[in-house]
Amino acid sequence: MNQDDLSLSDEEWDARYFGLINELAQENASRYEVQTDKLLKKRVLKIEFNGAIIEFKLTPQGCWFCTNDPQSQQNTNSWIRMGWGKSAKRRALPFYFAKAEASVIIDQQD
Amino acid sequence: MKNLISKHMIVVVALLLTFPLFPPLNPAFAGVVPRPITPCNIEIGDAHISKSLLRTRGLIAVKVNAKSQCNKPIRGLVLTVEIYKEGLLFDHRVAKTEVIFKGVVIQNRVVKNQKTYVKCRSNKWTIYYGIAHAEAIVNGESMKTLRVRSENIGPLQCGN
Repeated sequence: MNQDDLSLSDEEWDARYFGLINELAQENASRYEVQTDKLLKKRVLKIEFNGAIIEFKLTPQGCWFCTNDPQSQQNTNSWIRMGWGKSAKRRALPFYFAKAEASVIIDQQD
Repeated sequence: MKNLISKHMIVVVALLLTFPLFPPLNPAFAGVVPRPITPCNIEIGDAHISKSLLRTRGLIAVKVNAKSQCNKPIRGLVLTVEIYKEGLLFDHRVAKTEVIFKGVVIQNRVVKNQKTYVKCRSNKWTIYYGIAHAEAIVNGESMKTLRVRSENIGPLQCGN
């Protein structure tokens, strides 16, 4: 068994996960901008990505996402503190969209 | 009347100061389990600066990992990790991730939640720690673990 399987740190997994987030953030920058506007306006947003449904919901201080993927053995729910203001959320949301989509891809591969 | 107000003020201030000491209200009072003591357990790491994100994107983020292992097959495992930062009166939650394993997790398989991190906004030294807990169906019974906290809590150069 790989030592990383037993330990809490996993450099290889982190590199894959963060690499994927960076790649998605760059590739889909304009789509994420549109999604950011929609989410800030309506406070909830549902998208389909790789066959999975991802639901985003703004809270006063941050944002939730919940993935629902019938093809995968795993789903992920996540909340992150972004700050009270709209501008703080606008800055953080594009990267958060990339994080949600990377979660779907990683869950499908695991 | 003035005397009454000042007495009330003292009581309010005293209550606010003791508020973080009430265990149910302060997440920092979650139990610390340095080494798992049962064959069906969860383990949480310390809050740390993610080297991978710093290397690949030059971004500084605080990350906490957790893992679960059980000597019996389990079903419907939800492994939750939360990151808290210490505050003056209360500790503030800054991130939370729940990884839901839909199928059966075979006995002794290590499953991890490595997706919990928060990006730093400044270089301010701040104390962070993680809290993990899990729930699953073991032998047909719904079980919940205790909330466990990172063993070592120290300041990181990461304002949030």
